[in-house]
Amino acid sequence: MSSLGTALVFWPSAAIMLVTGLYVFRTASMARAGLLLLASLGVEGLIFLALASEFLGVLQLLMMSGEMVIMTFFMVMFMPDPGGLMGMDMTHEKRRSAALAVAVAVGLAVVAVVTDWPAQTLNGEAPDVRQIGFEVMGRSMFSFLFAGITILFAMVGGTLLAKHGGRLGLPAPGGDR
Amino acid sequence: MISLPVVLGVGAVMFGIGLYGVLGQTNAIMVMMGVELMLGASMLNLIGFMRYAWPDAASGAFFVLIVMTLMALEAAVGFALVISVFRNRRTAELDDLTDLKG
Amino acid sequence: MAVLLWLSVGLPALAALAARSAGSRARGVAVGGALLAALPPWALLVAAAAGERATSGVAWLPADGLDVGLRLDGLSAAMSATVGTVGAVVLAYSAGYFAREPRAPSAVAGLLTFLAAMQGLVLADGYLSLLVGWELVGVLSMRLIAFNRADTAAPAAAVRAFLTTRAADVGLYVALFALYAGAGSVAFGGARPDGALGALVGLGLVVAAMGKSAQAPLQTWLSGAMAGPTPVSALLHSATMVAAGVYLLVRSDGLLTGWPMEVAGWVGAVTAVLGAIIALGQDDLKRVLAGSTSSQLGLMFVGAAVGGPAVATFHLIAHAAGKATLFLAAGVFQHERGSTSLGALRGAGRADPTTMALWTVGALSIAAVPPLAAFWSKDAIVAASEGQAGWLVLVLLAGAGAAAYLLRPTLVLWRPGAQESQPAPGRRPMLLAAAALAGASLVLGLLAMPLADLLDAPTPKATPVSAGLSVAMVLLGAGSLLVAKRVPDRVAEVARRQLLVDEGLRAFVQAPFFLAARELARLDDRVLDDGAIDGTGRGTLRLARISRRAEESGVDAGVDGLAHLLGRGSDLNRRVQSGRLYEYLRDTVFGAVAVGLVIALAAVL
Repeated sequence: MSSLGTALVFWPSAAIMLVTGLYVFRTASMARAGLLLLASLGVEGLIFLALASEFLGVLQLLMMSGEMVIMTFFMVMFMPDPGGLMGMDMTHEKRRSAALAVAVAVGLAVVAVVTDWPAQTLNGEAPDVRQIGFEVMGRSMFSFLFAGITILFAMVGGTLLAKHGGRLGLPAPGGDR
Repeated sequence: MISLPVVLGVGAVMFGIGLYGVLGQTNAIMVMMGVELMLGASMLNLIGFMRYAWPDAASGAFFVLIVMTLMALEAAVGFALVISVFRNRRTAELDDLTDLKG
Repeated sequence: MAVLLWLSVGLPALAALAARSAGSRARGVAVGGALLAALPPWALLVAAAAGERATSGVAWLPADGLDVGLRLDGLSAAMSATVGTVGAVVLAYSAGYFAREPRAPSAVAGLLTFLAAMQGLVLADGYLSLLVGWELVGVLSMRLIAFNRADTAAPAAAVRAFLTTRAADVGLYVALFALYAGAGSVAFGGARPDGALGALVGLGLVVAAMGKSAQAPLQTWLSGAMAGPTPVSALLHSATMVAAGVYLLVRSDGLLTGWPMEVAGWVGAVTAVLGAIIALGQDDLKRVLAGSTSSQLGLMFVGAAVGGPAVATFHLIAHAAGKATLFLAAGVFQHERGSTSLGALRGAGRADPTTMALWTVGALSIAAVPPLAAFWSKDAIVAASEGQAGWLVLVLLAGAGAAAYLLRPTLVLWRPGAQESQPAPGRRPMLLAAAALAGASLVLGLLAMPLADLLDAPTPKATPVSAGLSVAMVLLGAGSLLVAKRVPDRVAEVARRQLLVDEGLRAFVQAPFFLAARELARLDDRVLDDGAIDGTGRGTLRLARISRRAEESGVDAGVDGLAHLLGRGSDLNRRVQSGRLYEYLRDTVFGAVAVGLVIALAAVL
């Protein structure tokens, strides 16, 4: 993409991303929070595309959509007041955490600006899919394997944990939903 | 006009928002959402590095892949845990889950 | 010659053994043995008079120059003959004295053993051999004094006699050590070493002689020794053992030249007078004779100091004869009256004229009435001391005193008394013996010149002046007694208490010693035990207490404080564990920020 095109996509996307991200935490409704998160991370995918990473951008959009939808389902199923209609305040120590968050963000931004980065290529090409594939199957094979096994464990473990009676297989106590 | 510091700056802000959520929310699921945001910020930074500083390194892309996987994993396992806790305690509020108090 | 020497010593010893095992015939065996034992000394005397000299002995430590043995020379021959003769006479007397004594064998054997030891003393060659004899006679004297087991005062008197002479013998030991250190040998005839050693030699010998011869202030033991049987008194304490002191002085003539002899002379002169005073105050006949012996020995000391060996030896022999006679006669009276106190003896002489006659002869001799033996010998001393005014005065006073103190008991014996005399068993041997010595007292005046020849020494001679003075003194003494009729009570009291020598010793020797001992004991108790040792203990305890307190408040407090601090720290730390996940996350963020800062700083700096 040309720099203008990149800029045209980037800036609005960045703005939407940040705002929706912030609103995730300012809403009382858990369902709405999940959907706002979906919006934020999905727009991030657009940014990935703008920054010449087609594969990753598409991947992000795919994954995030599936993930957030599942999340919202669960919240609605298991949480009390998922709609936030009872107006519970789900935050604590707002000021302190806000101050800390701002401080960290500022610190990181300062680092980003101040540091002397290596020579920048404004119009460079990000690696295409083929190159990524070679990378994964070649040099980063071990990490990929490890990640695979971890996913397997996570799946099994998560299923066990979520099951009635946990991993011990006990019958669920009466009155449990 | 979009240079690395800009991308990193945006990433920094997003990281901060995520952090605000992690520290400030009482519900465990909301905290997880904050973590998702933070991981998203790290992905953005990685993309920025890959695009602007080290274009030849495909390992950057791989890293992003791993982070994405992690996001999914974390959500899955985290949800399973929350369900389990909710079954026993009828609550997912962090303020009520203080069994680790020393 | 050597054989004769050893026989002189050995025969009395053998006779002692024979007598001890002879049972009922002991007395006879003893007399025979003593008479036999008197022969070798006489043979030695004859040989010595002919000019023969000899020695016989064994080399004990030849590398160090120490020998033991016997010698024959003029002095030793004269002494040996005297000792042998008097010994034989006294043993003959003992046959009668111990007629009714159940332990007669033990008594005569003791006397014979003593005789052997005394012969060993006078015939000794060198100071080492003399020392052997000296000590032996001292021990035997103690045994003989305490012979009568029924007498409760005897053992104490015997021990006193032994201890006094033994204490004085320290002088002899010191003198011998000094002599050996200075001269390398202890043979007779050496020269006195110079300086301090020589002083030790001179003083030591004089002190030893003083102790043995009962000179003041060591004279009190002699009175106590009179508790022994009369033969013992006659042999030991008048004629032989006490004369050993004089013999020592005469023998050590060369070593004692100069100031030691002066000291000896003064001691003798003073004792001569003091002994006479003591004799005047006694109520017991034998104690009178003891005081007299002290006095006469003092005269012998003066003789040794001024007149030389012959003068002293002459008087020694004459005195031996006369004093022994007196003792033997006293023994007869003792058996007749059952006691020797003057009160019991009143009129005993009148009841037994024979014995009285013998007594009188002895008394006249000792009182120095011419022409008896002791007159000549004592007069020689007076003549010799004419050069020394002080000594002359004292000697003359002693002479007057002698007349007085002998006249007093004589008068008591003669005056009629109420008591009856029992006939003494064994009277004949006793009288014969006493008569023999009385006869000797009559004729021994002729001994002067032969003795001087024998001893190779100046002849004792009497000048008209000295003779006149002596006779005058005798008359003065006798006359004073007759006029005064009795000794003044105060004087008698002091005399009886031996001129307060005991009190003096107690005050000047015993009291300071005990005071020092008490003070030292107190020092030990208070300072050492209580102060030092207990104080150390107390100090240690105090130190321990302080240490414990320091430990409790310091160390323990420190440790406890540390533990307390750790507990507080842990409590504070606990608050971090709130159980609230978001707080843990927040803390994680803090940590991450800190790490990031550190890295950034590291990169920048």
